[in-house]
Amino acid sequence: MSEEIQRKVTEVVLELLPAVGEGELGLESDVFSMGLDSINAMTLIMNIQSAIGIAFDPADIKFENFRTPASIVALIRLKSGGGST
Amino acid sequence: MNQNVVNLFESIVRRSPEKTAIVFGERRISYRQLAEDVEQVANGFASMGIKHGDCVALFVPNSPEFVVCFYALTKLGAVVLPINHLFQEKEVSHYIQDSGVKCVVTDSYRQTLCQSLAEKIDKPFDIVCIDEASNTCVAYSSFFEKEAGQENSNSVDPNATAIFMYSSGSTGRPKCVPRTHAQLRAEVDALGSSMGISADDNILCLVPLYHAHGLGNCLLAATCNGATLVILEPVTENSVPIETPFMFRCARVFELIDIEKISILPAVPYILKAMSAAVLSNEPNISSLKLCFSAGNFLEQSVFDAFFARFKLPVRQLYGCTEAGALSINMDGPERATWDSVGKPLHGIFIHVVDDDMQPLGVDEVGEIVIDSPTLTNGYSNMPELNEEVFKQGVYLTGDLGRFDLDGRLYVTGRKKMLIDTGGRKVDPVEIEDVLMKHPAINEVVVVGSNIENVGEIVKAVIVAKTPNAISEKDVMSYCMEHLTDYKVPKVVEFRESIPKSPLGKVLRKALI
Repeated sequence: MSEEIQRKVTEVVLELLPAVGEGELGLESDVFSMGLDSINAMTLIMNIQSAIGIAFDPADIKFENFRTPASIVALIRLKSGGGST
Repeated sequence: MNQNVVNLFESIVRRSPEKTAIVFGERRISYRQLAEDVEQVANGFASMGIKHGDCVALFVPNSPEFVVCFYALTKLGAVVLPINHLFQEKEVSHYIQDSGVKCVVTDSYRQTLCQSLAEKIDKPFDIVCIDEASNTCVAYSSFFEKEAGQENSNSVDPNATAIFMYSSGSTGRPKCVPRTHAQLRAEVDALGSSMGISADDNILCLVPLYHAHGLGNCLLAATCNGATLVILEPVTENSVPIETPFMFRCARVFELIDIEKISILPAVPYILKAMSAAVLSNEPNISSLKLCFSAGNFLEQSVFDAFFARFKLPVRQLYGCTEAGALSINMDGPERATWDSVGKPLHGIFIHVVDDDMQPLGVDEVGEIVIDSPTLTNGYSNMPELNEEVFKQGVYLTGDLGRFDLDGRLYVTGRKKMLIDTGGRKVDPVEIEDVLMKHPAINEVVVVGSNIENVGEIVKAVIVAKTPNAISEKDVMSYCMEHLTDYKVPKVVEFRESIPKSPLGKVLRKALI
């Protein structure tokens, strides 16, 4: 489950960063320093919601929650029950 | 005589000294306090030797200090050069050298960059740091340690240069646009009377003050009309301001609109798009907003529709340029289906649509938009040939295409000149091409804007290498990162054996997108 989430999150992020190769995006990579900007931030949130089938709450929409693939995965896991898989 | 913006600002201070001039996070600054700060800072700059005609760069993010320095320097007759606080050393270096800067005002986050530049540039300049200054910088706070001195008389020649702003163009490097005190004053008068800005207004500043949109439509629009300027404060992490995508600021923006009773919201399309899509706990109260307008880029109908559907407020468009500031605004009520119009010319400004022979065109005929305005620059610095080309017969040829409708509303339909709009920021492809052509392994390069689904327009570089595999995509990226600000770095690099060209040798850009 966790690996599946990681894979989907990575896919969504890479889709928005056409210049970044799969091997270059680590779990701790700062996606906003890799070229994601204000407009893409919105698309990132929407695409993750639809890819994972989850709805973020207003309180979730924080910069730190979407800064790295790891932080996005952590947020999704928290929303899906908080437990490990 | 009230012939410049400082006179006007000072008359506002005398009229309502206790009115709040600026709100910035927890800080609330009255007009009286702002004027006292301006006086102290003007004295501080004067004691550093800054005088009439000297150029001082403001290399700081949006802050009350930006406003104070702007008025203090304008009052001394110095020339203000606002610089994008996200720029890297190379870009800052170009601006500083091109403008002959005597002093740079910056913050602790950027002072190392400035110090490094000061060591490399032949012409020395001082550095003033608005927060924690290092040993080699002058502390802004030291300006406040002295007793208030004699008030600086404000007898600056209205025809003297007040500001340098840089405009991205379709050819070559950014161009320096000088504007005089009288031109800024004319802009304030035109905008204030056309929009009906009064001391009762609260204007929310979300756009950068270093840009003509922020400077004219926020800073000057508020402080020259006695209104309150509410500046969105930055997010900080361990006391260091961090650039945060606007999407994550939406909740705070709506909170400010509600609490500060914001009546005028100048914006750009992506801000409005983010606000329309914002995920919020409760529907925000924006009942105080009487005017929300977009500038800086073409407003898509989908953004207008989404904003209207959610907030029942029509986003109106303002048209302007660095060369002349705000030029027209659509003040139509919600009953008018004119989402795509930039409205009628501001009072005292004349806009015409002409053909290639400079002959005026009729209703609904598309041609180049030309400007005849007392707000217009006298011409770019040190660019006589370009000035001859774009300032003709007393008007400025904007390079924008447009048409007028029967009621005299202007519609901007496209650009003769070519800029890439990536994430709301304008990028001149020629600037990136100039940088890449200096790379020893590159033979030819064309930079284009490429539209990618769900991503928007991105910068793409198409490269012909001197020898096959002489340079990799990664090399191109790191070379650009070294020489350009992040948003100008190409997101996609494509290698080709040759660049497609027309029989006349013109690059077929469309074939590269």
